[in-house]
Amino acid sequence: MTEKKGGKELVKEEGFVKQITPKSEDFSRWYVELIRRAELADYAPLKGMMVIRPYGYSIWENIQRLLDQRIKASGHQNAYFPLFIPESFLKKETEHLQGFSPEVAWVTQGGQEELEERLAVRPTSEAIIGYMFSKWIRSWRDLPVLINQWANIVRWEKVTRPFLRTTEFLWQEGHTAHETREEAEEETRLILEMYREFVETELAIPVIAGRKTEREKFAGAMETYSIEGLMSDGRALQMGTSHNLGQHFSRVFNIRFEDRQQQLQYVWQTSWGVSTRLVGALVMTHGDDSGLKFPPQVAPIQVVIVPISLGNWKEKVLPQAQKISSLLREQKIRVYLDAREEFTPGWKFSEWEMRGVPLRLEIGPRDVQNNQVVLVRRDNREKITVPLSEVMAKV
Amino acid sequence: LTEIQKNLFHLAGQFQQENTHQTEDYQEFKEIIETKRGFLKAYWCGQTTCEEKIKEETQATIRVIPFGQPEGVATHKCLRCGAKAQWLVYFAKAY
Repeated sequence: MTEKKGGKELVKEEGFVKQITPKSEDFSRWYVELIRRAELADYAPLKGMMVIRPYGYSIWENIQRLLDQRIKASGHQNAYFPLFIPESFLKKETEHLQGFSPEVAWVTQGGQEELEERLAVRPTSEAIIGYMFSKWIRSWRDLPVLINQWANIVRWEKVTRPFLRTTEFLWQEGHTAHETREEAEEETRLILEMYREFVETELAIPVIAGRKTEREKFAGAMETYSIEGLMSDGRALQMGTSHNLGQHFSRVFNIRFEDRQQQLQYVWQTSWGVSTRLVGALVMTHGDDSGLKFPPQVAPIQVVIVPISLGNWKEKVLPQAQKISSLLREQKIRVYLDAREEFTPGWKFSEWEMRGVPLRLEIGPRDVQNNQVVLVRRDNREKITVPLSEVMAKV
Repeated sequence: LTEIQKNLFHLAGQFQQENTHQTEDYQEFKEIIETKRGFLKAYWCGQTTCEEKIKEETQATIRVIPFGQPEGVATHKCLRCGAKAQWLVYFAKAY
């Protein structure tokens, strides 16, 4: 109830800025205003932090589900490691520490007691996972270790922007250990290819895949590969990275195994990740002056049904709309029937357009009589009238 | 819905193509970065110092050294210093 009331008040309150700043006029303002108006996220009362609201979080859940399937299909398993990382662990790989130290948040006190050693709030997990690998890996029989973690990350950023760069964000981080250099390289490239395929197929964003320069690579990596998208303001966005860590971490964390010739060797490692940045990428790649435009694969709502509230629509139109809604739901389509009485159909049209729902299904008294519905695409605004019998096939 | 998914990918691909430029002239490079932005394909000598200078002067960074380098890269010259090129890379202003 409060949620709904809050929503209404917001609409009234922002009545005078009902139109979001056009994208061509001021891209940054358009981006931030749209994210807040569409209720993807809001600012938290802490600098540089954001709240991911249900509509935005459900995109992340779709991303998680679709990517997690791929991660598992390629033999990786999920696990969870501590949020706090002792300073001494981070210090072991000097390049790694230097790369991250300007952005690390530290915990110095627990309850009333000053801690003997500062704890870093996870800026990435190579150090803590490296330490655990050194305990788990003894022989070539233990390899490869293929682990993924879904977690939150804290990096104290100076300049922030919702989803693109925030002090805390969500991501997945893969960490693997292998017998040979070649296997680690193969894994690094395999994951990059998985990311490319995922982003292009599910997010509908074309990317350029390649290697990072020495200067741009991950702190502590031998080689970093990345996929880069081009946002609609002409700026590039790094959308996923895959690092070949070589033996940098295994040497400092002493992750050794007895190889097939009974010789002690250091393992070869990789790490890789994508984050809630991808939600920002969706907004910036596909959105237009009317608002968001989500690819159906990750859209929180794929089809919105708007009954045309004319005459005795509640008796005539609503039951039909409900029937269609449940039929679509049976087909595993994410559907929302907007039967709210306090808003006009016209208002609902532009509201759901702004929120980026790929397909709108309109149904009015005349449509019920003629056994038809009207479908409107968000991507090209194409409007077609479809006989009721063909709705399932058309959607 | 399947069509919409495809169309969005298609549109984004078209945008990327239209906004990917290639140049061997540093002046032109600066102009494009300043006005049109987008991806800029250019030859680079492989030196970090040169990469950093380009960033200072244009705010553009090397996003990636793409897989599948064309043949004869070494016959070209670095965008900025004119030394023998080592890679064809993608530059852009980035988030």
